[in-house]
Amino acid sequence: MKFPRVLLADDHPEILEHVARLLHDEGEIVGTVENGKQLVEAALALDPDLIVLDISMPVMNGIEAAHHIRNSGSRAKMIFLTMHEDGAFVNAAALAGARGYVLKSRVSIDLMAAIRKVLQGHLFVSPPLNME
Amino acid sequence: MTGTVADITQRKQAEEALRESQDMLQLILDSIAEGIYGVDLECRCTFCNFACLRIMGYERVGELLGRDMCRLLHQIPQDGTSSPIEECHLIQTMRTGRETRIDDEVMWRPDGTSFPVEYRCYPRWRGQEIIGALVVFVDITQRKQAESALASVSGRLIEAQELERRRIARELHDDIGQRLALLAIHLTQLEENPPDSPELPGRIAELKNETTGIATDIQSMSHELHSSRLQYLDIVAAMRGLCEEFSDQKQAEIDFNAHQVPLPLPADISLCLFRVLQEALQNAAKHSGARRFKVRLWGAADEIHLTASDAGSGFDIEAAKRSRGLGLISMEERLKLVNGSLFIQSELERGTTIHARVPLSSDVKQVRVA
Repeated sequence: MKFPRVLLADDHPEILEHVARLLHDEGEIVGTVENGKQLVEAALALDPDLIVLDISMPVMNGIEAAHHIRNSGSRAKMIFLTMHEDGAFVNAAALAGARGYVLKSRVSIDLMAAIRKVLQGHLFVSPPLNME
Repeated sequence: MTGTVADITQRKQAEEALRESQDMLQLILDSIAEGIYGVDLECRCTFCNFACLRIMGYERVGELLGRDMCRLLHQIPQDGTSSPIEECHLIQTMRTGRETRIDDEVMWRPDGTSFPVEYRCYPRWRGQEIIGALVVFVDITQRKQAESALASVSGRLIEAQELERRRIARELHDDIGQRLALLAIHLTQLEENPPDSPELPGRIAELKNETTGIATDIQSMSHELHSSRLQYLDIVAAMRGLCEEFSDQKQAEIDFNAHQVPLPLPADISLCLFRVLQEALQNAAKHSGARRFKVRLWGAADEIHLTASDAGSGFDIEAAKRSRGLGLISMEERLKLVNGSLFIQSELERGTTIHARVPLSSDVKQVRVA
């Protein structure tokens, strides 16, 4: 897939801007939301190819939102972008149907690699977490 | 009739001087905040000060003078039976010649009300002979109230909360705050005197490391306060994480197992059980010397159960509740809030098991079972 339609979810505007800059000419940002509830609604309405989402969001967190999105039959591939380095969170993300898990501290290094891999049908986890 | 004018004048002067010094004494006595009264060997009141009247609720010195202070003030117990004279501390003081200090008795006012007092009895000597006693006392109603408020569970919980707030405030200010201030200074130095090119990336990398270090420590502080697994994942993941951390920190072995736990568990029940486990493990670490623990979490017929047992030195449950430690009491209070209950079995030298039980309402939706 050359030019995916991407939906972003994060309650920090600086993150949304940064990801938008990274994505720049490799994808089209079709929407940005700031909590899990808005995310589930937007995923249904916009039918994106890719969702980049945070875990810690108000109203509904990212893991719960991911469960809803997967259960709704959406074909969007989900990549988590989060501060949480705890292996239990990576497991929970996988159980919720995520294909990628990128640490925010490594966003500039890992995110684009993650997006490319996931769009090719593979999984991606930020290297420091691989041991878990 | 004998007596010269000079004699009469001298006697008058002596009387005058005596009166003056008595007036002075009374003035001093009346200006003192504590109640003071004197008794003779029969415990009859020989004098008292203004504060004595005020505290005891009498209007005139005349109401007290000559009365038996033991019977009047101390010896009327609430059930109406009278204690024998021997127990009166005034009598004891006059008999033994030793001062006594009492702070666990009450005095009674003429209107039938009582108040807690702290009083001291001093024997009055004339030469080698005891001729009476002096009592100095204060109404300690307020002090008693403050003590019991402090001792009550809610008072102590508030105290504990304030202690924790101070600790966090101190860590934020002294540790995190200082390191950030230092970082700002280093950045300013860099801004004002940028080092020559080859040095710059290295210098910036140092500052980045300092920043990351601060971020890590803030995350640890946050985690200590509230488990993020509990917030974003589920109670099983959170308890497993707690057991692993405890295991690492205390070099202990924890066998954790969860089965038939209906998820998601209501947030208040999750938090309650998590804190109960945390408290149980911390208590065991502090007091039992145990190194191996068994923790079980399971659901059965509209209830959820948590047990934590060790084969450590055990403890005296009643003594632990009476001591200043809040641990057991706060476990019980937390469980009460969710209609749960706590059973503790502990035998000295045999070990301890705590068992918490919380009912679940039947409309808790079972989405996943761990």
